[in-house]
Amino acid sequence: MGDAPFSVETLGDQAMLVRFASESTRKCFDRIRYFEQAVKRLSISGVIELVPAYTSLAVYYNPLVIAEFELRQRLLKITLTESITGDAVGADSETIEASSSREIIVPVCYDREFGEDLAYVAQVHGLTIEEVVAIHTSACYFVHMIGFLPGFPYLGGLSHRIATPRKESPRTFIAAGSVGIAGTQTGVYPIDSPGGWQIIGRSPWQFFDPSAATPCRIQAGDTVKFNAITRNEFGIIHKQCMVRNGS
Amino acid sequence: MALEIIRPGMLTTIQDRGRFGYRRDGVVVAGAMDEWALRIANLLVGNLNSRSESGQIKPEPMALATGFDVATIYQTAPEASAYGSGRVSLSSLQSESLSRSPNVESPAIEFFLVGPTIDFHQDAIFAIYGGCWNASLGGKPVRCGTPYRARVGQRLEIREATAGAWGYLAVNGVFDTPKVLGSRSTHSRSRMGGFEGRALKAGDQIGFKSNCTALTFTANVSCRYVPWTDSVYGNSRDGNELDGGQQSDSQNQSLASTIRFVRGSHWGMLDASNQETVTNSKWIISKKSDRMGYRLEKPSESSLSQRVESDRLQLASPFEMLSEPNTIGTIQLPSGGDPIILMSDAATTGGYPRLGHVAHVDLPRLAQQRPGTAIQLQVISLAQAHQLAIERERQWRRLLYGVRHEPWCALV
Repeated sequence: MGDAPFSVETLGDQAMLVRFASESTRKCFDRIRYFEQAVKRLSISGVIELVPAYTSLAVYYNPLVIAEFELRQRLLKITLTESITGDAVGADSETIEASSSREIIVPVCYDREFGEDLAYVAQVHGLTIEEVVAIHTSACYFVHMIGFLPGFPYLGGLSHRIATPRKESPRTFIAAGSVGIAGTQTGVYPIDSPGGWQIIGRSPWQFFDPSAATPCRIQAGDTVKFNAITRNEFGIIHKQCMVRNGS
Repeated sequence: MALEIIRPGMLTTIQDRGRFGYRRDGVVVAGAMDEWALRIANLLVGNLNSRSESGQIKPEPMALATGFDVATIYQTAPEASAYGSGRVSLSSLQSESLSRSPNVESPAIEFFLVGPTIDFHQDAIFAIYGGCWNASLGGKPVRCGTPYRARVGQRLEIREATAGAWGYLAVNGVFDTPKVLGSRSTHSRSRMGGFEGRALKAGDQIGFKSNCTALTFTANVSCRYVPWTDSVYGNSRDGNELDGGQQSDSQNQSLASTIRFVRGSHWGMLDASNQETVTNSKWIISKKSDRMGYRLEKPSESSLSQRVESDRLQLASPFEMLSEPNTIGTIQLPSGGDPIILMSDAATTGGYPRLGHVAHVDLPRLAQQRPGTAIQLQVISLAQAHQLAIERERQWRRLLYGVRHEPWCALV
C-alpha cells in the first residue's frame, strides 16, 4: 500500500472532499463505497448528501448545523476504521465485491440509423462495423460513477481496440439512449443532450425516470454488458418502455 | 384560477431553493440564482418557511398594507422561541438556516434582465425582489421590495432591470406545479421540474393556491419594505465591509463587486504570480455566462498590452484529472485560462482544476452582477466564510423578527 489511505480537502464552505487514491481502481471504488456506507450509518446531523466519484467522495454539509472541524474529525475517525478493515480484507476485496455487484444487460441497436459514428470508429481502427460491435458487446463495463447529466454512467473497461477520441465539434443534439465512446470510456446518454461522444448505437431503455423510487436505472458499482438487438426488437422494447411509463 | 404569462421576459422559470439529495445520480441542484432574493420575495408575501407546508405552524391573520391597495394576508405564527434576543447561537440556527438545505422554500418566478408580463386571473398578493425593475400593476408603478395586492384581471408588467440581473416574483401561496425529486425548481436542460420542465412561454397558465382571504390590506403601508441596497449586495448602510458606504442613492448604483472565496484543491498548483493575477485583476463577467456558470474574462483593454500571454492563468505544470464533484460557487480553470464560476445549473461533477469556491454568502451578490461588469476576487479563510454565514443568518433572523413583531417598521 504505502500511501495514506485518505485525505480530507476543502470543497468550499459547504462541502468537503474525501480523497482516496490518485488512480481509479476497483479497490478504490470499494473503499469509497465502504466509507459512504459508514458515513450514512452515522447519520450526522447537518450532512446534506454524499456524492461518490472516481477517486473521491464529496460530503455536502450545512456549516450552521455542524462545524467544519467537528465533521472533519468524525470523518477522519471513520477513515481509521475503514483502513483497518480495508487493509485486512485487502487483496481479497475484489472477489468479495464482484459477487455483490449487479450485472445489467443493456439492449443496444447498432443500426446505422442510430450509430451515426459507427463507420467512423471502424475506419479509424481498420475494423469492420461487425468487429466494432463484437468488441463493444464482448466486454464487461464497470460503473465508476454517475455524473455530468442525470443518470449518466461513467463506464470503465472499453477495449483499446475501439477507443476513439471525442468529436472535434460536439453535436448539439444527441437522443436519449444513445451509446457513445470517448477515449477509453463508453457510456449511455440518459436524456437528450448536446455532446461530443462518438455515437455507435442506441438503447430503447429509459435510463432516467424522475418519478421512480430509484431514478437511475444504472447505479455506480453496477457491471454493464451490452447486447446487440435488431431494429425491430428496438421498436418493440421501446414501445414497452413507453407504456410502462404511461406516455 | 391562475396567473397567465402574456410575455415571458428572459430566461423566465419557476425556481425554489433547489433539488437536493440526488447529486449522486447526476441530478443538477438548479434552484434560484439568488437564493437570498428568493427568500425575501417569499418573506414579503407571507410564505415564510417550508415548515408551514408541513403544518407545524398554524396560520394567523396579520394585517399588512401597501400604498395602493388593502387586504389581509394570513401569516405564519411567530415561533415560541428564538426570535426575541438578538443573539443567535449555532444550535438555534439549525432549523431555518440560510444555507442551501434539503428544505425547499416556496418557489418564485425567476427572470433575467427583462421581466415577464402577467395577467392575474385570481386575486393575489405578490412582491418583486432581487434587483430593481421598471414594473407596473394596472398601469400604476410598482415598487420592488414591497408586497401588493393584485385583483382579478389586473396586469403586472415587469420590464427591464435598472439594477441587478435576476428578479423574483413571489405570490402568496404555492404554485400548483408538481414537485420532481423533492423540488419545484426548473432544470431546462434535463426538462425537469418547474412548469413542464421548461422556461415559461406566452400563454402558460400557472395555478396557485393562495393562503390569503381578501379582507383588508391595511394601513401599515411600508411595513414590508426591504430595500434592494442592503449589505447582502454590498451596498450596506453600515458600510462595514465594502466600499465604506459611499454609494449614491441612485437606483443605478453599482453593486459592490468584491467576491470572496476560499481556496480550492488546486490553488497551490498556481505559482505566486498566477495567484496574484487571480486576486489582483479585474475580471469581467462574460456575455456567455448563464445559469450553469459565470465565465470570467480579462478586460479587453489589457489585451492590447504585451502582457496578454503572461496574464493568462496557467497551472505551474500540466495536470489531468478524473472527474470530481463540484459545488455551486466552484471556480474552475479550463485549459483556456479563463476561470468559470459554477452557478445553480452546474453539472454535479467536473474534470477541471478547482482554484477556489466562492463564499456561500457572496453567491447572491455574484449572481446579481450583470454580464459585462467587472468583479474582483478576494481570498478569505474557511473560518471567515463560516463566520459570514452566521452573520447572514442573524440578518435573516432580524428580518423575520421585524415581520412578526414590528410590522409597522420598515424592514431595513
